[in-house]
Amino acid sequence: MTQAMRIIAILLFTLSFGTIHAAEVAHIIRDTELKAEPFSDAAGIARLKANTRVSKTERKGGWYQITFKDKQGWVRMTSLRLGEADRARGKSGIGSTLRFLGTGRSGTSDVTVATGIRGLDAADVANAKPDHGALKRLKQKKVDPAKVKQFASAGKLTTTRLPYIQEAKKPKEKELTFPWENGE
Amino acid sequence: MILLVTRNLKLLLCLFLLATPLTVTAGPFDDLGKILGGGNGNGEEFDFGRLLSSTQKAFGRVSDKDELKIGDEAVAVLLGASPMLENDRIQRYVNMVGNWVAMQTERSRLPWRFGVLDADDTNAFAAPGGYIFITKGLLKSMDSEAELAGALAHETVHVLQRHHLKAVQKSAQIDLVIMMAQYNSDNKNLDKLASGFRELYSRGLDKEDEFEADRMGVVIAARSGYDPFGLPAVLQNLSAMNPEDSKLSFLFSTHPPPDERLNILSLLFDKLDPYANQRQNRERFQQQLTALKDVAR
Repeated sequence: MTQAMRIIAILLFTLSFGTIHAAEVAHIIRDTELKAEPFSDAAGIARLKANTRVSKTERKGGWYQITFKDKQGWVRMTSLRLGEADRARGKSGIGSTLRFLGTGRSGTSDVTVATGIRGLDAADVANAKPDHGALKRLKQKKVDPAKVKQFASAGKLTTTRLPYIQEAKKPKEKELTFPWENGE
Repeated sequence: MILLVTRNLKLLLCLFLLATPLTVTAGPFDDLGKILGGGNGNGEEFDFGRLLSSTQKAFGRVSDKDELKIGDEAVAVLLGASPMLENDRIQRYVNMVGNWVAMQTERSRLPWRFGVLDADDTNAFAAPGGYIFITKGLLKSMDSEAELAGALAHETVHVLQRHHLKAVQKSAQIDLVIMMAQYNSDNKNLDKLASGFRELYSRGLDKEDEFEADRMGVVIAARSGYDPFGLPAVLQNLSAMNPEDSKLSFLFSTHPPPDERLNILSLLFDKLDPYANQRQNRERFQQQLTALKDVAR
């Protein structure tokens, strides 16, 4: 491969995945503190009011990295929703659907692929004629547990013992407030 | 003697109640019956089997073997509604992630099978016996292997907790235990089963079953070595999508709103935080799914 080809290949790759950690519109849903690090006890940088429009870049565990004006920091996943605050999000909600595709097909209206849309809705299931041939083909494909373990170790996945967490109660208003909100 | 049997039965019921719903009993119920029945050992003519069968019925419990047969019929319905995606690489990848996740569950020995449906709608399904399907549309909306693992883990819980078996038994008034005893001799039963699953899949499971699948799913993802916030991230994406989009209508009509699911899941976040730095495997995910870009065109 020549140098030029290599550069083109890299460029193509970058273009196709140019959306890695691309900024996405998001909004704050409850007053919250912008943290310097993705931890509860990290230092606070700023306070963000509900409905503040921010730009989200990355996720680390239950935290999103966001920028607001000139500040960058982390907010809890529970304090933020992707997309615009306006709940009729038809105009901007496509970001997440097509983000991975990273094509130039962003726009403001519903994006549809012109050909070959394959639907699967309640009526399709309600009227489905059982396909035993497809079932048989699916059953023929067996998975080798040794290969699965190889796959896991290639992905650096290590198991950990963790019991199910006790059934959570429905959220109460009190449980979802934050200490710093009480003083206001 | 009757008294003793009654006491045994009570004990059995207590054991059963204790074992559900948050822990999963892995072994077939029948064995427990044999042990207790065998303990009788005095030629008593009491029909323990009949009593046991009615207990099983009350809890919607069928044997693993029968569950697999029932699952086959459910899957035939699903595959009659949507074909599988014809892409071996992606099918294999999803099977690897799914099987790894399923290995960390209490029913790891089921013959788990994962499949991608060639549908642009955003959705995922489980069927008894260990079948899990995810649509191409949902897969494309994801960002990392941790998200995929989270969604698949959610689906495995429907199998672990036998949600579909219980639902189809309840709503279609099908006695699965009796039906499966006559499985080979009566094709009408197959039709009845198929129509029960048609109805169930188009209506969806109970809200509570979905919440339970979320709660247990994040734990299974953490056990598997993934960042357990993958499932909440998928829900975040769903929440941001246009609810008017027809590709979401099926999912939204069969599941609680993503915001509600997120709120309930958020109560577990503190306990999941210690695992937040586990793997997301974004690069591997995006590499494996390059082919979907072509499929989309």
